[in-house]
Amino acid sequence: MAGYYTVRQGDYLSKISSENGFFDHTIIWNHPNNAELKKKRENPSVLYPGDQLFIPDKNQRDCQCPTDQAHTFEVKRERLKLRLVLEDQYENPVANAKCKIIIGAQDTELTTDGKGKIELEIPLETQTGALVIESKETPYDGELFSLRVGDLDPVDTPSGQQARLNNLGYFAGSSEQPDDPLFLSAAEEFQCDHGLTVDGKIGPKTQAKLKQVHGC
Amino acid sequence: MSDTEKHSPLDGGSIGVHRSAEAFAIRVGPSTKNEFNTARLKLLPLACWRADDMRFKFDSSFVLPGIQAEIKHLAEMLNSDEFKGCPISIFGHADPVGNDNYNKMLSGRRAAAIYGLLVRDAGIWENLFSNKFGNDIWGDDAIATMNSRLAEDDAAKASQLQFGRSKIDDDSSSSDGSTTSSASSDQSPPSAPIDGAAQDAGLRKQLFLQYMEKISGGFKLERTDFLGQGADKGGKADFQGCSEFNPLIIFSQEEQDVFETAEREKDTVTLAKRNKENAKNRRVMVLIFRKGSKVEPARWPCPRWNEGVEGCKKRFFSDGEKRRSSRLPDTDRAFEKTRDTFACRFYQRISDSSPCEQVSGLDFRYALEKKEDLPWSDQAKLRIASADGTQQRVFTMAEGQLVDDLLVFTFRHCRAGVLYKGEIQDGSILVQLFPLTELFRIMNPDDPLNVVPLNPPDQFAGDPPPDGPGIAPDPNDNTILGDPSS
Repeated sequence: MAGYYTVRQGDYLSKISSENGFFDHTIIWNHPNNAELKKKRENPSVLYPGDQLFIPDKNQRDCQCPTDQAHTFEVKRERLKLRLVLEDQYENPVANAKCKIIIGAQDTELTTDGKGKIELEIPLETQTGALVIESKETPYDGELFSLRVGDLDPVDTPSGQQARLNNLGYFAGSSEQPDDPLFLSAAEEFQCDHGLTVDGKIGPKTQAKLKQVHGC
Repeated sequence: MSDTEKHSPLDGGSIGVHRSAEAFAIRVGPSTKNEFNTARLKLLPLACWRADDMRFKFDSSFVLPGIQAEIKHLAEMLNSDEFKGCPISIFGHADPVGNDNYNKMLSGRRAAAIYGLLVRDAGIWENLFSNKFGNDIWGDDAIATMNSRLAEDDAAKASQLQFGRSKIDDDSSSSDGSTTSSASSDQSPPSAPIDGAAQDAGLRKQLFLQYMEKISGGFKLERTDFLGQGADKGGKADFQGCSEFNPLIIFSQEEQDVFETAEREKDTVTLAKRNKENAKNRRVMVLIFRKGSKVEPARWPCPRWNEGVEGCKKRFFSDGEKRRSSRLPDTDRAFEKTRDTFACRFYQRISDSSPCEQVSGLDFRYALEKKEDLPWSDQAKLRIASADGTQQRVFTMAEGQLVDDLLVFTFRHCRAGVLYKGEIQDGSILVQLFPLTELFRIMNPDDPLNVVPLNPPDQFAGDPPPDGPGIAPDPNDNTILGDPSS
């Protein structure tokens, strides 16, 4: 049945689509009822708890086929990627470094490219994973970082700002304990490092910069 | 340092492991088009060490011999598997008396003195000695202190401690505050004093190096063991002074008015009181970073130890001035309560999870009776720990001070409302001295001897706690494990 779905923490559109039997999130994203949400959020993978998403009925497609023959039906599943760039504290890429991404039971060995980037196709409903860095050139050799896929909130929300600041190494606190002095010092450090007015307030200019530097 | 020892307050400082950032979860948005996420792996200190003001000559950068007690713990930490090879950086701090520039220099000189000590750089000490700065004059008494330390016989001193024949030391700021540096592993014979060191730079260099060797207990670091790797001649990223910008405690307006009056009227007694209370701010912190952490000194935000404050001010919070100087009418502002007394946001970030940046200080002295039939040997250890696992101090018997026939141990930085327990460990023997009890405020902080002897249980000074079982150990709670007779 068609209807509105309330987005929860950790949701991203490809996951929601898949859970509802859609293999292509654009069917939902491009639906006229979601036009406002699409305009507001832009990135279907970065939604916010409470967002109202309209899930249409699945189209029934009739197909006339003779019963005494075998037929092939192709389902085009969309492919979801995890893309991560690793940098050191001076924004230099951690290039050509071995690492491992663990998602569910699947371990994948990867090497960052010249720009520090790794890219991996992931199952449509991935929620958690882990990254292990296996490179003696970094102080993080052997460290395991847990990955929370879909837990990145939009940049105009405090939790989204905090997550991006944390990812960029500014230690803005953990979401379970909103930590004002730490958040403030992280925001100001970010502004100072990126040539913005240092006032600790994450207004439109800072948000745009945060999104640009972080990638999404 | 064991895994459970998150924070140990020491007699003249502190050492601890930082609360771990929730193993850094990276929150990512998956990509359906070209989106990507960035994870920047920044500098993260893992642990910290602090030397208090009492380990320096008053208002000076000259390092007193008592620091040997704290260096011992630093050495243990940096030699342990967990922290071996982790680079460090030294941060000196001053109290707010005096102006920013003066305090930048003073705090920088203290940081430099510690750096010089650790890497055996006599040149830095010569620089500090020959170039007086304000009240920081090493002078003849520094020479005398160093020579007198050289003349001490470490072996005799160690055996003295073992049989508890040292006297209790008083807390006056002119002494070095300690006669009980823990039994040194450096059992070298006394060295002859170096006469003429006051006049001759060459002799002075010898004196410095020998003294450094003694008070560090033989522990030494290379320049490459520091965060900047010694790459910058001015020590950038290796050691720096933070002036008065990051105070742990800011006096109330009420108190400040009293002190300002005392200043005008040259009321030395009140000024001495002010200096004593401000001592908490005058500290030298060492932060220990992840193995392999590298910085480019040119991009390190802190100016050099002997440079001005402009570089510091660039890193101030937008309300930094307010943070480090605004006062409440009748209460002190404390960093550990509100976490908003530091002006420098860079320092705030890297020291935020440090257990050493706190001053909660109820001193508790626990006494053991020296009796004939104790179930433990001289190798036993006294362990006092908080119930929440965040504080622990393990004393060797040699660290106790003999007062009459009681062996007294000072446990500092107890916090009101927290339960502590005490036990004696000796191999497989474990004796509970007192079960989880709340420690109470000492009646007279200037001369407390809050004695809780093992036997008899009803002899203790000061107010009993409002509720609870009281400090007297429960005779039924004396668990002796491994006792063959049980």
